[in-house]
Amino acid sequence: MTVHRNPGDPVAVARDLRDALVDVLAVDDPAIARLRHARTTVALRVEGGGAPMTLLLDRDPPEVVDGEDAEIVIDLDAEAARNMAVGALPLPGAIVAGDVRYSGPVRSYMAIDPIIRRQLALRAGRDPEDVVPASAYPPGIAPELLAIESRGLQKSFGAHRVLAGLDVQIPEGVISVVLGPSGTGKSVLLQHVIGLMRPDAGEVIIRGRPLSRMSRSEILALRREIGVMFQDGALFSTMNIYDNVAFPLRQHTDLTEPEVDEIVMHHLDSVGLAGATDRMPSQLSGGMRKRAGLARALVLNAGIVLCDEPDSGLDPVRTALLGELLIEQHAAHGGTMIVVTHNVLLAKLLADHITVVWRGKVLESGLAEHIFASPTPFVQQFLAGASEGPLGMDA
Amino acid sequence: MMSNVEGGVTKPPAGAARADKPRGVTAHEAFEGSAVFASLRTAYDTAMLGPRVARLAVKPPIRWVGDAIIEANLNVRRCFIPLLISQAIWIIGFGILNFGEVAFTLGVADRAPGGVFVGFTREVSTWITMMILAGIAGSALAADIGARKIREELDAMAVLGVDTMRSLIVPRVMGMVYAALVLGLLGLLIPIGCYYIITPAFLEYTPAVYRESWYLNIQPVDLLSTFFKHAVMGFFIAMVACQRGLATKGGAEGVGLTVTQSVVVSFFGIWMFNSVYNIGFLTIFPDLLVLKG
Repeated sequence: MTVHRNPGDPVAVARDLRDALVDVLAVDDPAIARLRHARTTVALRVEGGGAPMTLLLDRDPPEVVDGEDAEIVIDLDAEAARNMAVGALPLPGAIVAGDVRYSGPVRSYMAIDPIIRRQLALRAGRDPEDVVPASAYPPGIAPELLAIESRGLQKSFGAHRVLAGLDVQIPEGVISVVLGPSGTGKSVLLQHVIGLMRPDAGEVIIRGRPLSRMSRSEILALRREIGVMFQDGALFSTMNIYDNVAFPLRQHTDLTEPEVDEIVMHHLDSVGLAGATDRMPSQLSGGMRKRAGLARALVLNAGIVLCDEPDSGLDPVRTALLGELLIEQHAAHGGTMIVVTHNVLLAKLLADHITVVWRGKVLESGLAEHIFASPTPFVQQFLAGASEGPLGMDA
Repeated sequence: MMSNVEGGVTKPPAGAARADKPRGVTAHEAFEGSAVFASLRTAYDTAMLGPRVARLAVKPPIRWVGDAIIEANLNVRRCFIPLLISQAIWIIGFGILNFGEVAFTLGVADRAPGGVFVGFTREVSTWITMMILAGIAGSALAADIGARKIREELDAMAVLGVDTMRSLIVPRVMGMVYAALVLGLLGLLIPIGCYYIITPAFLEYTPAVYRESWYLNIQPVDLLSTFFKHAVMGFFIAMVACQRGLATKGGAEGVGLTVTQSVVVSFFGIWMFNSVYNIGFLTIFPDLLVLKG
């Protein structure tokens, strides 16, 4: 792992970071164009590094300037700044862990951090997945850092209690995996997040807004911020792949057909389906349907993407390929991605953050590296796929 | 809020695992899980769906007309041949060979056309037509909605901000009502046509006798009542199909069960409604009980 423990002169570090950011913001990539969706300004202050540099992400194209006032201020020590310059510092994790201090509505920067971090890593010639782990995970995360939160969520179907007071906290800007055995309430949680199900008790809060206090029109507007990749793609059977992906754009935007065509073809190309536009869902394999479903989930630039069991029905190789595609798409679009699965290998491949759910409750929650090192017998058993342990056939 | 942190991991409070163990089922929960509750719930959901669809059908923006006509056209085309065969068989087997022969033996063959018309309008034609509609179009609708449900298409529509009630349910329900009216008309014309072609020779009277008996017994209120009844039954069939489709769970087996339930409930509803309606109708218009001629 590339970690800079001796960052050197803070002024030089700050200058390197500034140069890297200037280069990255000048890259001709659709991902960089998406930074303006953050509609914010961010001042980065390097300890001992002189005047802060400010990212003007509300401009098109975005710019880096010196010493300007900004909505968000992020304070970095020299080591963090050095790691950030080479795309090795996942800021969402570092902010949540308290390794990096901030002021202002930092969530909007956390949402686009994956885009900038990937470009910085590519500029430095590094693997974007090779990052510095955060030091610790706090017991409660500040609400302004969370993309999704559930408090005491309860849901029963007749006598069967599925969610028994689920407290989930998912930070902004990460790929978060909700991991747990089958039938433990993971998919039901997603249904609550989308607003397709009402809880018996408890609350779901999306980016600081409680769903229970939203009007129907507010929920419909919120759903534009959420893309969902359903288990089997959930493509509309009466439309071909192109029309399926174009559907959200035609439904929710005033774009002309040539503009729709450009966006649809870009997304279909990014998931490797540019050659299958005319095919009907029934003519696609399971993996292709999932990829088409992912393209449709991303086509409106959703800030939160939910993936329900993306590995179901796929062989291990295609599961790994789909996992890499999800990482790629997250780095290209930013935002928060929540993946519900019981596949430990997929979780290891994808996760920045993990929530382990068992019997309708959160058993453990934290950054991936911490969960994988957890001493809890249930987590150890589940991660190892062992038959001995607290999880049995009937539990 | 989480209460314990160890090695960077948030954990639930100590003793939580004990609290998570399966607990006893209360009487209330047991009732909610029972078949009786499920049946009551289904009846309630079906009853609630009707007013909701009716309200959306008349509340602007009204965009269902085109789709409803397409659906109605499809339903009529699907049902026409089975309707033609069924009605023809019934009118020949029951109307001519049984009822007609009895009337002929009793020497009142000239009153048979009017009697057959009245009987078919109020009873036989109605439930033959509606059973065909429920069995073909209703089951297809239940299967379509149910399959979309288990493929999560309905959830996807909701997530994409599409009102599934307006875009999917209302046009199909109205299409079913249109189809019920068209098929109701055909369901009258087919037996009348068959009877007109066959019986003058078979029961030994002239076509003029047939027409006279027919004219004497056709009452506008009877015809209007028949079409009203068909429209209500079409609406009911669509309600049952949509409700069962929307409540589908459990994969392909679930869709099969949905279709079966939809057809059985529709048949039962058709018979029940037709009987109760006719009792009420003939109580209000007792003069229609008299066979003229």
